[in-house]
Amino acid sequence: MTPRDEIENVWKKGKARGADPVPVTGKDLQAIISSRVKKEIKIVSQFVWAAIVYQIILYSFLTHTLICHWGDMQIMLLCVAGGAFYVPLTVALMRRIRTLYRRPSEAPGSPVPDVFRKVEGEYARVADFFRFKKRMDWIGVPVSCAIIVLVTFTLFVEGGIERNPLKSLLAFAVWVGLSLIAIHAENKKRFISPLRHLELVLNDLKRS
Amino acid sequence: MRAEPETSFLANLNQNIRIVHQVCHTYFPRDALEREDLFQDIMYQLWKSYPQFKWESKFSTWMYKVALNMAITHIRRSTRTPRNEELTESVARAPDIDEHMSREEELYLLHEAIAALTDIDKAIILLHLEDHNYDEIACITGLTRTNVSVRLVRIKRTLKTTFKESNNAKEE
Repeated sequence: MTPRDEIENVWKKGKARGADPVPVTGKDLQAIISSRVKKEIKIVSQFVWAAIVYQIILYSFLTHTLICHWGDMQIMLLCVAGGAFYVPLTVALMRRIRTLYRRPSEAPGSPVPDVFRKVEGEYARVADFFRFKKRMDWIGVPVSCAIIVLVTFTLFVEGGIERNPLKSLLAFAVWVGLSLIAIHAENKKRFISPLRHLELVLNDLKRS
Repeated sequence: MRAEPETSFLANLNQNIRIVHQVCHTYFPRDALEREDLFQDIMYQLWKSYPQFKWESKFSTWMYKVALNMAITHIRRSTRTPRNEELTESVARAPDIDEHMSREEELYLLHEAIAALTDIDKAIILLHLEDHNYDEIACITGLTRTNVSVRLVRIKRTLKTTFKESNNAKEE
């Protein structure tokens, strides 16, 4: 017996000895579907929450300040400008999230791709969103931190930014630093690790 | 999915359900939780993709495509080290006969050797061991026929070496 046959024989004997798998009933299938739908919704909501939490903080802060200081033109303009700057970013982010989580199989008439195309497609989809998110983080985080620090110092610190340039700069740096640490941890879990895995598979496919 | 297509889906699925179990076992031989998670993901994906299935290929080929796509792109729940459950399970199932035990161990060693392969190589060897020809393997994986044959030679060589070493270690 050649070693090649040995492997195939072990596999075939194992298969022959194995018990027949339990058939799936309609009830089992329904239970699986509802559990997976819940899981999908949970993943998307967690992600949406993580992605827009910054926007939520910013919008709440701006709305609260706008209402509290209604009539103070400088503060009102600052709040409206901050909101106006952020709305297009939030809309763009929500659109991208919808694209990210729309599975290719949901498109009517789309056949199941082979492994190569599937991995390539998944990689492109995740990498594209990650590129967009990184760009948005680099613009959005410093700007939102600057708005928050600017409004906070103008309202609550005597002398505002003009008299406390170092303190405001330090507050800005700490806020940006903390945000970037949180964003990096989130990115690692949701993008960097999955992309690394897909890249390894893709390289393996291209290697042959 | 309406009642009639669901009935035909279930009938076709159950005729080939072993495929889903085999794919899950090949990618997560030692982690029952990951295996269950992947099993459910594959079932859900099969159910979602079934309306688009046009019977242009065998149902089993389509199932392999969906299952392997899910297994390879499945995001691992955690990086924890799984408990080594399989040998315990198989030993517990096996009757107290030396020959049977040795076969169970051989199968376990083969699964271990396959588990050490890359994700794509696992798919190729699984399809080969399940008697798919080079063209079918190429169609499912998206590799060329030549690539499949070259890789299979390499995979078999690797498996042969690993399997032999494991067998020798067991005998010592």
